[in-house]
Amino acid sequence: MGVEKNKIELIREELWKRKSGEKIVEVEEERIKIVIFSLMDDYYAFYGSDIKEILPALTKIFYVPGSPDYIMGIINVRGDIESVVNINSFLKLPVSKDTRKSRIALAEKEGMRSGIFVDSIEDVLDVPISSIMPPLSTLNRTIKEFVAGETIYKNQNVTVLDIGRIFAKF
Amino acid sequence: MNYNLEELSVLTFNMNGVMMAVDASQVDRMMDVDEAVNRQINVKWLDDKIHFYGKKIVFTAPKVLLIKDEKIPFGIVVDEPGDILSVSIDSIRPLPPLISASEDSGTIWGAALIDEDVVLLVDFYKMPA
Repeated sequence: MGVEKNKIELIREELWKRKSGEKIVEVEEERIKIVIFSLMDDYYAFYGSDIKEILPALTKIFYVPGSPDYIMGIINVRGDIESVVNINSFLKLPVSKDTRKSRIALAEKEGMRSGIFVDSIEDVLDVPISSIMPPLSTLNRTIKEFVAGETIYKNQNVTVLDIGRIFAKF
Repeated sequence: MNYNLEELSVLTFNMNGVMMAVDASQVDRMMDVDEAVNRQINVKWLDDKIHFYGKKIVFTAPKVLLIKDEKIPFGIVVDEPGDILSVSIDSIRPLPPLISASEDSGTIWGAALIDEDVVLLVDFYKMPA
């Protein structure tokens, strides 16, 4: 006959169960890094794994004739030449002004690499994968084909863009 | 023919702030536009052949580069031709994939890193007719 557990022991056991239960939840909840940026006062994001570097917009951009209007030109990144895409033009959004908050996010996906010109970098966050929801059905069709999902940041909607789908358009 | 693949001699020119250069061996000689017209040389303006979308090219010091061609030599009008430079192959980079995939003629084939500048390398033999 086993020794009967007193109330405190039972409570402690329950606490351990809960605690280990929480741990299991933490381990199972897969997280993903996102880089949140702004375009015309709206929030967008790329997956952090696709962004290799953030460069100041002061980086001199050399115009390349013959390229489409959404390509701003090329930049010299420590001896490597990278293209720069004006994401506003690409997504057919109004073109923003170049300010001291503007940045070039150097993106890489499946062997393709390019700078993406954005109004500002707002944050880099680790978020649960479950917080990335399917894209809103109300999104306009031009953007929708490049959207991986939606999430929330500072009570505002964030459109998560899939850089692979953007590169695939070239 | 044996080529020196270690360096390239280029003639630079400046199209409204866009620094460009052509392999100097493609150029026979340089002349004024009037002279080319008088000699009835087939002359093409560079901004008619390569699109400078949204950029209005105002020529300040136009010159005709007479391009060597086995059949009919032709002239290309460029602006502000400058130095002939020797560019090491190590300082030449291919265009990034997004640019080479979309650049409409293939005329611009690379970029040379010269001091702090990026100079676009053009191949006049690839220029659309």
